[in-house]
Amino acid sequence: MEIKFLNVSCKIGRKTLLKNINLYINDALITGIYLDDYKIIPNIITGNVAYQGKVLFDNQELKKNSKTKKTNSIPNFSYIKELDCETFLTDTVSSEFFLAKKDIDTNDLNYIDKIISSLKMVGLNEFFLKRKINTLSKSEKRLLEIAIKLITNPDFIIIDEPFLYLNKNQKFNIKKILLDLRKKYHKTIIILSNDINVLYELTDELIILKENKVLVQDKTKLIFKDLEFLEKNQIMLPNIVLFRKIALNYDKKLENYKEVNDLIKGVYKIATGVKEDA
Amino acid sequence: MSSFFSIKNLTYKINNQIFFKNFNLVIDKKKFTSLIASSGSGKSMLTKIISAIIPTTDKCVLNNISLNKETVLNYLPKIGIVTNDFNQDFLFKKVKDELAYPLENLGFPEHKINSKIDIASKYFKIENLLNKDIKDLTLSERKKLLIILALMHEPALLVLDDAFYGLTSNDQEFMLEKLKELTSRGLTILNITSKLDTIYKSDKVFILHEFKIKKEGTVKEIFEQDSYLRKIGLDIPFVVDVSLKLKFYDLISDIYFDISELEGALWK
Repeated sequence: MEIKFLNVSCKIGRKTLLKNINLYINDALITGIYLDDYKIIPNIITGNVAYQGKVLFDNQELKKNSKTKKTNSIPNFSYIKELDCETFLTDTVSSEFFLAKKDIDTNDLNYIDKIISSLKMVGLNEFFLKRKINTLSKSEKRLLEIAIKLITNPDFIIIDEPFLYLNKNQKFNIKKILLDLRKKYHKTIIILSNDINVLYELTDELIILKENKVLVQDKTKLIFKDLEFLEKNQIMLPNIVLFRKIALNYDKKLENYKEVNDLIKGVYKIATGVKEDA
Repeated sequence: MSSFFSIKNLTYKINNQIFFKNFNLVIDKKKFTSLIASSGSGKSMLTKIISAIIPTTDKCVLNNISLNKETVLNYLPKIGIVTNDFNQDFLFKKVKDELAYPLENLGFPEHKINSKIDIASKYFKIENLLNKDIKDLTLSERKKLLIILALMHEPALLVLDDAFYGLTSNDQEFMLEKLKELTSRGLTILNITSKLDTIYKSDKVFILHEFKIKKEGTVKEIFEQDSYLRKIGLDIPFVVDVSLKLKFYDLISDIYFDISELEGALWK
């Protein structure tokens, strides 16, 4: 699913949140959105707020409700929000899954199998089915929410802060799921985060907003090559990019690494090379 | 060193599932103590016990007040709690009203409330937010406000339960700096967290795993045990991770908490 914004503006109350912006969310890629403090882009996409301009899904404009100016029939999507008090409406894990899919019989064994594999995918297991929601830890709730939102097989997925509340191994697992969804199942994925390190690690393309405009939209790797541009616009650098920038002050030229281990190898080469010269 | 807050011999179970068993913890006065744990190891439950949301009898002792049914009203005003609970909402429209609320609750006169808000907003540099609507704040500003709110009634002990989620790294650094400064003025801080980049300024660090204290030490001593930290699911912050790896290759000789300092030592 490809999503386009053409000349979109959005005002809430007296506050202008977007002004005549154009943006493209490409099919089967992971697109990050940085500095969307009010989560306005996902809210427009999912039909939650009124806007002016055009939003196209696979080049088709959806009908807007003439009164509310919100989009009607959005394609099948899942929006995995930060946990809030409305996240879970029933009291057990299994009933949450049945709530997610209407018209399904609670004895449908196929669906129960599906639930179990969905739980296993996020690192939980079948024993969770009987658990009460209020006995889950924060990370278990978060993983459960992801499992529920993915079971409907959405065309596109929006996720807020994908690593929120998760420990190291759980983060690794969620990263793998997102990459698989993109690569094997060609899902369009939109990630919202305030943590530039998370976006640098996970996204193919990145949209950075600034003062209700799109500051830049490009391949993530390309955006972080242009250090001057980022500094001029006071965009926070991912740690590994910051390391490369500081090294330049010492006339050490490191490559544009993405992984810490590659960085260490690069540093080792330069540092020991220098020693040999001396 | 004087023990200021302690948990003594705590055993806590729900139905037949035992969570804490003979659990002990001692926090020193005017210190910044961190208790690190990955998710699901008892962090939030411990916060609830300390803040008397889960009732216990004579297990928590704060400055010689032993927490039980009779003393709870003396005990609670002396602590400030910040949780990362997603049900936590603000009560008022304006930031200023929100900051006044805990003080109004304790019966402070208006002029005193105003001067306290004035002092707090200057100290934490949020003067520009006072007249804003809370819904117009960014996530980071809101999280910052939650920490400041917990300090308004001048508690003796501040308990932070994963309070730094959602703060931008600049705000996080600023708040940690300011909080550390408050310990020299008498505040005791217990930072319960899984975010290891919030523990750099700690005087002491405990590792909590499976409802038990597994290790304790200084910040550097704790980070030296990086393979253990990784094993229990904690993320090593980038700058510490790089430090440890470069140290392994003898390219630097210490652990750094700041990338500039690290590279200063590396490329000198």
